[in-house]
Amino acid sequence: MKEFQDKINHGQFACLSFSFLSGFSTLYLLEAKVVKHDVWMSNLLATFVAMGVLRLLCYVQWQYPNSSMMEICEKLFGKWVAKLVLVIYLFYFLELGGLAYRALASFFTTAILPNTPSNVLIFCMVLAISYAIYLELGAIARAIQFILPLFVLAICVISISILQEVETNPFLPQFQSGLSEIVYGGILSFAFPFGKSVVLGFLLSRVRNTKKIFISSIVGLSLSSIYLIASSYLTFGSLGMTLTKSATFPFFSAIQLVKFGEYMERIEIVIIAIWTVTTLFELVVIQYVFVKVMGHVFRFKESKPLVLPVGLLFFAMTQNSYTRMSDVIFYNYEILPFSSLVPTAFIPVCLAIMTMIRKRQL
Amino acid sequence: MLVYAVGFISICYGIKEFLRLRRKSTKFNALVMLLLCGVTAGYCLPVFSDAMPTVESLYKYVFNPVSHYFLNLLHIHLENL
Repeated sequence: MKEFQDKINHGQFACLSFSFLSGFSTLYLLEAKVVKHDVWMSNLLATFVAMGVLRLLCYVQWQYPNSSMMEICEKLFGKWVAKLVLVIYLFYFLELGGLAYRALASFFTTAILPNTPSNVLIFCMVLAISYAIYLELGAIARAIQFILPLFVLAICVISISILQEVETNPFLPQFQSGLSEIVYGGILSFAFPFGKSVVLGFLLSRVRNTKKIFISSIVGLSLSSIYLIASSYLTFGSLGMTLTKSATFPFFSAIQLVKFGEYMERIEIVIIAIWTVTTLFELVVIQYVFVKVMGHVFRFKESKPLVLPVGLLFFAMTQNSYTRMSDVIFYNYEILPFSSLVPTAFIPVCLAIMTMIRKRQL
Repeated sequence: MLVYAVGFISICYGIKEFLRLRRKSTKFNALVMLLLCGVTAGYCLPVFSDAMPTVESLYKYVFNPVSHYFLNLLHIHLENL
């Protein structure tokens, strides 16, 4: 598949990483509901594992600076095994995309637009995302670079506002959870959101200065981790443990408490905007990589004709998946942590091992 | 209604791209495109959609035993949540 591929710089890649990993990561706070006070340990554990995975992917990319991750897979595993590996990734992207579409649609129908059918919302998102993919990675990265500072500012303002509601350190007393709970929380946190960083591996070859890809991705990952830990801290601090466990969207409920004096209320609209835009960017990246990988697997000369059908496939698949909120929660707790381990951890490790073996042979 | 419309759009697009790719690219690409659009249309038709597996149903089938094994190993009881 040879076509014009515009490159992005490392700053844009860092913004893209943060936006992609943050997405709707603070929507459910699932690991916080399991591990409670010690959630930060689980989050940090998952962050360090994700850093390790990114380091492996960057190492592989550095050995083959002019090849995309799909081409590298073919060089390392051979044609047919590489196709199998890439098909596993296609399934993973469909899984992630379905969950992201459903999460945003459920949030909108629960909190803002109760009478709007979720399929209408999903279809609108599919159209917007397909258009963004049609514009290619450069336009996506520039859009993120432009919007992200505004959202970082908004997140900071909201966090400082909620901080006034927090009277004692909600992460105390520490070590209330057992090691197994912390590990399970770490697996949950790695499955969503930090394990998603493997998707960024498919964009590493599109960064202009490949020497800085690791630093850029680590900046995005670290900021995303800080954002998640801060959200858990603020939610526990303002809502308390019981309300956090019972709320479907705990961070959203925490933000609803904030008001400035008696004249400025309902600032949760800001976090709705943040979640919407970052989740849209997350979906743009997932679908963009899906189109590229699919184009590579089936040897398409150009990937643009795939953009619309792939969007419609995501729509159709989401229509038939995770139809109830309980399905989403069950899937996130019981299936995703284990189903995502193969594409997010096992395959990157295999790639790195194969790269080392090839390097020694040469 | 919207779902049917998406299925219809998908079939139309698939046929159009099939004809275009058969002329401009390879027959294999044209067939893949037709198959992709056909699968999408299948998910949009109620008769087929119930019978067709999704990633969710497939992964639930494959990973449910794995999940139960590991959750038991870690002594995690999610019903207490």
